[in-house]
Amino acid sequence: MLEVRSLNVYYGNIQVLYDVSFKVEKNELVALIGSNAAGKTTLLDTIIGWLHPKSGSITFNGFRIDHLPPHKVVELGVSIVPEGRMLFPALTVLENLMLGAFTRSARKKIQENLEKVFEIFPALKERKQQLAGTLSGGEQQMLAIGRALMANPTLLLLDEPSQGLAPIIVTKIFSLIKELNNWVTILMVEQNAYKALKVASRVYILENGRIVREGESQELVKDDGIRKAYLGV
Amino acid sequence: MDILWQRLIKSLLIAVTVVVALVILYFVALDYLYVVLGGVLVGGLYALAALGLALVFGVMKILNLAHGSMMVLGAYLSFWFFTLYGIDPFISVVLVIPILFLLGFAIEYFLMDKVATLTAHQPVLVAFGLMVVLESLFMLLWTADPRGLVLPYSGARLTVGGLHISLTRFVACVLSVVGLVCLAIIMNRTLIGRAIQAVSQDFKAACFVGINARRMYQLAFGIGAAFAGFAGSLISVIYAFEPTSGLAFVIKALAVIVLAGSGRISGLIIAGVVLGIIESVGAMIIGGGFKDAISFAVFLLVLLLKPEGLFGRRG
Ligand SMILES: Nc1ncnc2c1ncn2[C@@H]1O[C@H](COP(=O)(O)OP(=O)(O)OP(=O)(O)O)[C@@H](O)[C@H]1O
Ligand SMILES: [Mg+2]
Repeated sequence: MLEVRSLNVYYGNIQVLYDVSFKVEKNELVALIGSNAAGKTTLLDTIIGWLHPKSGSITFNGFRIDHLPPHKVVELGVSIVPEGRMLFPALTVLENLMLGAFTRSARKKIQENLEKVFEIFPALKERKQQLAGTLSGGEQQMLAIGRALMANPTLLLLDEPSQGLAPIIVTKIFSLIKELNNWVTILMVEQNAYKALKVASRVYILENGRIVREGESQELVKDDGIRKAYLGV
Repeated sequence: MDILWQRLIKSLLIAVTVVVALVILYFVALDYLYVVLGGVLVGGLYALAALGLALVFGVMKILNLAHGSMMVLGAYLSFWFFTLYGIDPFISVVLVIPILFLLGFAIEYFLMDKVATLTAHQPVLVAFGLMVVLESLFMLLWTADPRGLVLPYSGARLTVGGLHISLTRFVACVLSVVGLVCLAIIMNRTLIGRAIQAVSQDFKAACFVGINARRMYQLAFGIGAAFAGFAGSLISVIYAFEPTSGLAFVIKALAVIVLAGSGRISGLIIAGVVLGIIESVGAMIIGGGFKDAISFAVFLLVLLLKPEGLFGRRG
């Protein structure tokens, strides 16, 4: 479904991603694990079209998308839950969700998707008239995911969904993500390797802008090097 | 809903206070009542002039110094339509608005868009350059002579309860308020309006939900120019104008925005009326030639003494 090949991405003269290649197949939940400043956000920003690679290619359902702007990529069915959530704080929960369905294709399914989102996140339904900026951290993350789902995506990109959340909420969010995977393909970027390995079927490891390992989650959890570096055991 | 009621009650209170003050003036000092009324009428127009500037600033964070010159362009176009084709400016305004919209859209598309990615102050320089270019163009097309429109009904008056009100000023004020309300509806009730708001709150987030953010910049700049043209058309029936009038206009619009302290439309109307009243009362006391100086003084004083304006929040 998504294929990234030999991607090199720069900020000005500074190279951040080196020759990154990976794949996400339909219905998979793939996790990309990396520590601070590994280039995770840069990678997702490049897939969604906010940044453009200097070389390499990104194809989505056979289409080259690496030179499209974000609104075109979103229209094609890729949607992102950005780092730091990036809600519209001065708008209500409902208005945030409605803006999530901005693209033409999403507008057609707006009612259907809204019901689905409220079913998955009943807390959002209760608070639909509340300003997004006044929600708790966990609720904000749910809203960010809900807003991304309103775009009617077939591929959902998640940038550190556990960031800044209390441990109980983190567990809850991850089980929700696992559930979401029943109807949308997911590429998730995480620092929380333990949780990511638990929910994802396949995992890539990004270090200093390079993919250094890949494999099935079950297999990587047993790997000694991974356990030491990422799981702290 | 609650917030809406609160705002409604607040506006009603203000309206009642104003009416009571006017009634008192009516009995105590009729001269002053006329001065104040003149200020109120012109205040609607000031609010309209400020609106486009506030929109562009709010969305794009660009101070469009050419806004006043765009108003002057609207005034010249009305002048042209009237002297060449005999079209009444209150009618030709429906042509001026789309012309200015397209012009604004094109300026953003071909000019601002290209420099916005450079440094933060570049767009302001471009706007300044635009002002100079427009002024020269006016000079070339219409000479440096001051122009004004004399309509068959320019001297007409409405008489209400023994009070005489200039018909053109009254109509201009009503149309200004209609324009302000239209924009409020566009911004709050339409998809495009909400998308423009989203872009102004968080550019990157707006892109991520699938909004073509650059297109929204172009639309916002176009709408800003359209409203400048609208205000300019209305000004052409009330005041004389010349190629360099733009600077005074943009300063007045800025004074309204600073006084309001927020881009909210109700705030702009009240600030416009307050500025209109201060200006006409001040002009009566120290002389009509100081009108522009008075709005500039208000602008500076507000910045010095109450930088958050009447309705803004500090910080
Ligand atoms: N706008 C930018 N301009 C220049 N350099 C940047 C920019 N954004 C990120 N970088 C640099 O690129 C590198 C990768 O950053 P990125 O945000 O992609 O990392 P990350 O893996 O998402 O980190 P984190 O876990 O902290 O979110 C870092 O060294 C960072 O300093
Ligand atoms: Mg990051």
